[in-house]
Amino acid sequence: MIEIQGLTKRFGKTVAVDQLSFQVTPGRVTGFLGPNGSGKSTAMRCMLALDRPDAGAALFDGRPYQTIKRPLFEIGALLDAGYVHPGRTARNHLRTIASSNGIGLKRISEVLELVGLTEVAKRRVGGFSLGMRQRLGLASVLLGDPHTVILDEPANGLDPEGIRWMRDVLVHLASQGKTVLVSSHLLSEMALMANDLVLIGRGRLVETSSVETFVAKHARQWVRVQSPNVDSLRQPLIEFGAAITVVDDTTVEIVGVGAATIGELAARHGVVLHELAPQQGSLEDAFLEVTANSQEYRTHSPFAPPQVS
Amino acid sequence: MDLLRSEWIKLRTIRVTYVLTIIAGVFPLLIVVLVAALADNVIDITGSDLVSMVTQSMVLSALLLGVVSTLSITNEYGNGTIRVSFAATPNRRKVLVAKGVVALAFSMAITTIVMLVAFATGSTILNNRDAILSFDSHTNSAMVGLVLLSGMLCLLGYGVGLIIRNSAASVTLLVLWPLLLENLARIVLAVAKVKDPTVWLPYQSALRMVSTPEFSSDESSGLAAGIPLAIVVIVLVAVGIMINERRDA
Repeated sequence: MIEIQGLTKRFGKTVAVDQLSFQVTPGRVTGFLGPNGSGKSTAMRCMLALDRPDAGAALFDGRPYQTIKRPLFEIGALLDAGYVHPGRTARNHLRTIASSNGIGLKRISEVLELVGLTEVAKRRVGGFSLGMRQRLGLASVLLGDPHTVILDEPANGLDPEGIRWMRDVLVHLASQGKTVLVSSHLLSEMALMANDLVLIGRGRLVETSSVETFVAKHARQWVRVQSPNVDSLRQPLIEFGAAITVVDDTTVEIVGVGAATIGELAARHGVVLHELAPQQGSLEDAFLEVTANSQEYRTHSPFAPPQVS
Repeated sequence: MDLLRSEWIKLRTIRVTYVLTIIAGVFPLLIVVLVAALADNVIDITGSDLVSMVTQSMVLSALLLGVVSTLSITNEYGNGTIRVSFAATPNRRKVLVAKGVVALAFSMAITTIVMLVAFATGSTILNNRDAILSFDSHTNSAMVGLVLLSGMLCLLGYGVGLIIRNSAASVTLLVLWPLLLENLARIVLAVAKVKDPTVWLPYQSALRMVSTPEFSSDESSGLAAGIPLAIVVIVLVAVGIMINERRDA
């Protein structure tokens, strides 16, 4: 169990993390989301006592990180796969970490096997791709078989097979009852992997909930209707308070009225339906909706949205 | 012990350690071999001459081992691995002390080995050329002084690296301190007519530790001459550790 209590970190006049409080429960993958510059990485560094917070605390099973004598056996963390000396071999990189906590060579071989780097264990890390470094980073996380895992953007640089592998590993760890906190910009991945979400913006907690609840609450819901005579449905739907987006001559997207009501209206007006499909926005849609005002750096789409009648 | 082992693995698994250590070892050996083999009138060469040749040529080696020590900490900050180290051992003081102890032991051990090898090689060559070498307590003191100077330069480099955290800047300062800054300070002190300016120049003063009486114009040579540099080094390392305990990693 991770408990973050009023965590605050300032850099000069900038408040990077502002009174952040949330909990991460065992047995679930918790996604740590936020726009660029929202304070995710800073918060993670504060949790691990790498950055000194100005206020608040991060507790692991009730204890601050700095009081844990051999943390690798309790908490495995990967903040940046680039934190390696390029001249060291993969095996030696792991040896420097493992030996500090009294972990032996046998376990190093095991984790190298686990992440698929056995064959390149004697190669210098400087020649590794980002994906290989991510695997090496995960190997260092698993060295002590910890009950808590913290990962910052672990899927960066991984190919599709690697991303799937990473997802399977994290889901497997959570299924073993471990506490897993993972930040990622790959929201589609997060939707597949995470059970819970902690969303922050401008250093503050925006929302914490399960993924399903979050998407249901914030993602747009609409009904896709396809009919050769779709225009006949327009007026009755507008009278019901629906907003209609025209997709093409035979297809519209309707917001504000449920599929059942649309079906009944179509039957009442003798309109043949070829498609009547309730739709829901993705985690990405929900994320963008909620963080619209929390984006540090915003871009504007060069494409205009579809016309809403 | 786990931390010492970890730091030892870190030190010996990067190439720069080997490159600088080989240079630090080969350079004085080469000097000693060339001088012992090619010198005229070997009959005039004394044990004190040989020791002085070894110790003086090894001052540069000690400085190179200081650079190894500096890089042992600045490389960690440069590559971000210090965060991995502190995450694995949250007690930063323990990590930094272990790193300093390993660098110190490495530097002093290499200096001792190279010095003894250089001395034995020089002695063998000179003995074969019929030189008669005799040694006294002053020559022993100079040899011990060299090992101590090497330890102090190692910790000087470590302390500078701890405070500056940047490899290029730290190595530059470590090299310029003895070679340039103290010489400039000596000129300033001389212009100001300060009596015995070496007292205020820690490195210049510590150099007296490696001088044998024939090569020292100063009466105050001896291990005590290293005290000012030892104080500077202790303060630098202590301040460096204190700063790194408080700063963000």
